[in-house]
Amino acid sequence: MIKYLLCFALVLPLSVWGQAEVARVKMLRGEASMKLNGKTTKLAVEQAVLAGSIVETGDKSFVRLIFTDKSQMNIGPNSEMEIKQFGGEDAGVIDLVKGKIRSQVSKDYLQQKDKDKSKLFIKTPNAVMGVRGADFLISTNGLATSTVLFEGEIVFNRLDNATNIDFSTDRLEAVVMGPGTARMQPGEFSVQTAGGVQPTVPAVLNVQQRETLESNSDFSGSRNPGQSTESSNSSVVPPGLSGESAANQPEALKNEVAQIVDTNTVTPAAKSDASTASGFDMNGKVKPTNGSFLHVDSGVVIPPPKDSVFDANSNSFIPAGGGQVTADGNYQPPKDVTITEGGKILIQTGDRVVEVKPASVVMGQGATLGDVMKAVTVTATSPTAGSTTLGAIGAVQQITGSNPPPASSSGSLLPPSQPPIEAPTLCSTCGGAIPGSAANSTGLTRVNWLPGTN
Amino acid sequence: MRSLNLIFGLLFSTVVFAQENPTLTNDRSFDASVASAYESFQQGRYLQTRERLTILAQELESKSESSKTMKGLVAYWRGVTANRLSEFSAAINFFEQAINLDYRPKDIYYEYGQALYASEKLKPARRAFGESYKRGHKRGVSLYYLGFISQTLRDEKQAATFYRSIESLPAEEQEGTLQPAKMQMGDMFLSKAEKRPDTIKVVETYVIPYYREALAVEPESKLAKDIQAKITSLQQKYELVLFRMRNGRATPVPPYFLRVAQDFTYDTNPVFAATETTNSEAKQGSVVSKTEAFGRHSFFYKNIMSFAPELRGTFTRHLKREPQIYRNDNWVITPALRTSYEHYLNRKQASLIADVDYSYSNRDRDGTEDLKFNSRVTTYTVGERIAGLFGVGETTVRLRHRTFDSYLDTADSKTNGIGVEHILPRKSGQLYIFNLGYDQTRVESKVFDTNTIFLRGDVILPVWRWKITPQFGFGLTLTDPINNDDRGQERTLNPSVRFSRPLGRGFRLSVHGDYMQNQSKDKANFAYQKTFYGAELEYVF
Repeated sequence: MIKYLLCFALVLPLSVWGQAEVARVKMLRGEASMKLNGKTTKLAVEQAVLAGSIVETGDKSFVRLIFTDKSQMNIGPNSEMEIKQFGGEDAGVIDLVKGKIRSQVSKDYLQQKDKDKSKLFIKTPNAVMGVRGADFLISTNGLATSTVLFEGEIVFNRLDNATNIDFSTDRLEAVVMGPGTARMQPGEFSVQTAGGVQPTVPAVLNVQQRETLESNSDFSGSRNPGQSTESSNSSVVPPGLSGESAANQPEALKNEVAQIVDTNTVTPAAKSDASTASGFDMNGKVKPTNGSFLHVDSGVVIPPPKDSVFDANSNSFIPAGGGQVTADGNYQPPKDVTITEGGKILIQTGDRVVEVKPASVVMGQGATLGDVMKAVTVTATSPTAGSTTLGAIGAVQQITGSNPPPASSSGSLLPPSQPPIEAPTLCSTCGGAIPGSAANSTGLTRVNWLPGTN
Repeated sequence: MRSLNLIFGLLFSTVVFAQENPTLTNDRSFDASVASAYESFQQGRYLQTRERLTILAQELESKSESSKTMKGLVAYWRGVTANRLSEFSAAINFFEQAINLDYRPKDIYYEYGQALYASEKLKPARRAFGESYKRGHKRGVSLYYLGFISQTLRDEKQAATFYRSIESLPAEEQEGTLQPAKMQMGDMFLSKAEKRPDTIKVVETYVIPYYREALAVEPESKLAKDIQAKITSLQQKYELVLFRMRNGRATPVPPYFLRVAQDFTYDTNPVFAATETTNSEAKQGSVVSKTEAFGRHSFFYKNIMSFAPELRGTFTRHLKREPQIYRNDNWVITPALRTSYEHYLNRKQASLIADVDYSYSNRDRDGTEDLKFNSRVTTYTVGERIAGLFGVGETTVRLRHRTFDSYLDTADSKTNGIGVEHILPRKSGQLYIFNLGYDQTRVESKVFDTNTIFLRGDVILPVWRWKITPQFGFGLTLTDPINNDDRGQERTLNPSVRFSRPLGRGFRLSVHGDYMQNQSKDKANFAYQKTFYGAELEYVF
């Protein structure tokens, strides 16, 4: 009997009713809990996490899990994640219901024989990612999913009905390898928008944001302005000149440094191609401009304004104003702009709040969101900012609202949790009288930003 | 060019010092730090580069034996990195440190000038770009900066000199600056023109032609769209071109339309059906070449009426040279005049239309390889076009009277008809076109009298993959030969499909296929079926 009890005592920590330990809590900040078989327990450092567990984190909280294959998974604040499957011969499956995961997945996961197959799948309500050993960030608000790759290799694709259907790993592999998949390279990001036909073609993330996100693996950075000591809204590119023409070739510095060290041993820079760096939107495929910011919480992409200079080293455009990167690596819009977690972009112009719907994430194809942000920043300091912000951008039709917006706690904009009442969507190319153009009682207007209208 | 040199002489007195090469260091760890900073820089990791360069700079400060050149290199490099991080104040300090240390690589003044320009320190920026130009670094772009800064400083004479100097540079040194330079010249002309009493004349005579010159440098560039927008905006502002009629209906811009097209179609059964009263069935297939030219110019009386004379000419030749086939060779010339009177009907945008079409054709009707007079057709149409009658889109109701004068007197006819057309654009990008019509045709030889109902629906779908625009259509014609029971009630079915794709520079390629079947009791003379499919290349001027 004693023998049996001993065996039971040894086996119990490893397995509860057949559910094996797959990870252990190695770091914890704030509050986090684990749900398993209907029971909720608070997580603690060194606590075992079992397959089938749902891990939840609170506001400003963070959990670091180390998996049995030494993979590391950092779960960001306000996140919910279920470990569907981990261990055994099959690839692992993680279901990220909401929030963010920063993960460094070991290449040796389970030492799978087929090196061409994904070692781990992370699925969200509308996307699935196949990981083959990588350092990446994935975030979802339940509607859109965005991902940034720092090292290694991942494939990322749209997933239909992800919430209700329990996919097998074979099915998930077929999805990530299916049509429209985004095969990402380090430094790139991709977004599967709500209702999008396929994820965006991978594009190079803004260089500052990439570095800041990469160094903020434990979600410890604040939402205050980040590492840049100075933020400028001015551009080095004068009107009329392209960012590519204004760019200075890095060869000059190379020649200087070559006199000190052998520059040939330095890892070559990314392949530079300003024509493709501008992005494209054709035949249902959308590639944002290289150098775009990513609003990680919502998946909104903010392309560089059109007067951004091209940087051959990173093969991306360096935005000249229109927001900045916070210390935690997120994108912070200009003062009078709010991007809600649900992806709404609200701009306060004078006594009105305008919702902007960007149509293009491609530089040079109409006014992009980056151009809007820039115009807002530039006019924010002007005494007539309220009336000129949108006028400066041009090609915008809006319903005139004369009443002030509902007061928020900050006295600036609607809080993200309070959905604004929307006016009818307008078409800026329709011409003629605008139906329902009477004053909107909330002061909120909605603007459709169509390509080619500026 | 002499004046340019003079300006440089006056503006820039900086002496270019001979550049000392950075000496190799004997400190391996320092060299490794330089290499790692360079690797970060090359990979575009500028925050990391900044950190590494800060450490390098501190190391150099702590070593008394550090060379001026090495310090200069690090200061210059920190300046370049700061520029990439849009930290322009810091960049200016670093570049000034490097310059003060006599460390002046070829591009330092260019980078320094950019930092100064972004910091709105325009006069020092102009001096820096002048130095950059003198050193031969990105001469075209440096001149553009010089021009733009001078323009901003309202020194327009100098600005013009700098902009014009770009034209004299070799093409490879212009680096995309010629078009914006010409556009800026246009802007300067405009600001001068707007201060004159004869603004409209100056805008039309000097400003717009200058913008057009800028446009011609690279018509497909991104900037070309902005330049075209400037032209359009001026034309609107000064009413140089009419853009909208008084009821808001857009006018065609430009007011002319010219198109030529060449089509090759394989027709399984060539039939000359255009306005004939009988159908001649060849019962042999042939490739048919059809060449067409079409031109129209719209004129406007104030913003009330429009007149659009147009001319269409077609020449059709069958490549299979059998008399039964080539008797359908023909040419047709069709001048027309379209007029419209713009008004409102129940607050809806409306146009009263009145058109006259005349069509003259010759045909090889005897199969003798000689095109002889075949017919002349005159059509008078009056109608009303109303926007928003049925939801979105435009509805047109037309009444028409047509006289057909054939080489064969017995085939002469008169037709009275009514037609309704509705064009329905959908938000999803599809465009639907519906037609319904009724014609009464009375022929000299009463046996050919007919009453005809026709229906047709077409849909043009949004652009598919590879810029292909698909179009599908189906037509049904019901003909009642009222005095000829032998023919019975005839039906003509005509499904069609067309895929077209722009090829750039005004060219468009289409492939198309049609099936046509005419069902008649008089199978010998009136029943036929045919399939034709082919390709058309068109060019729109």
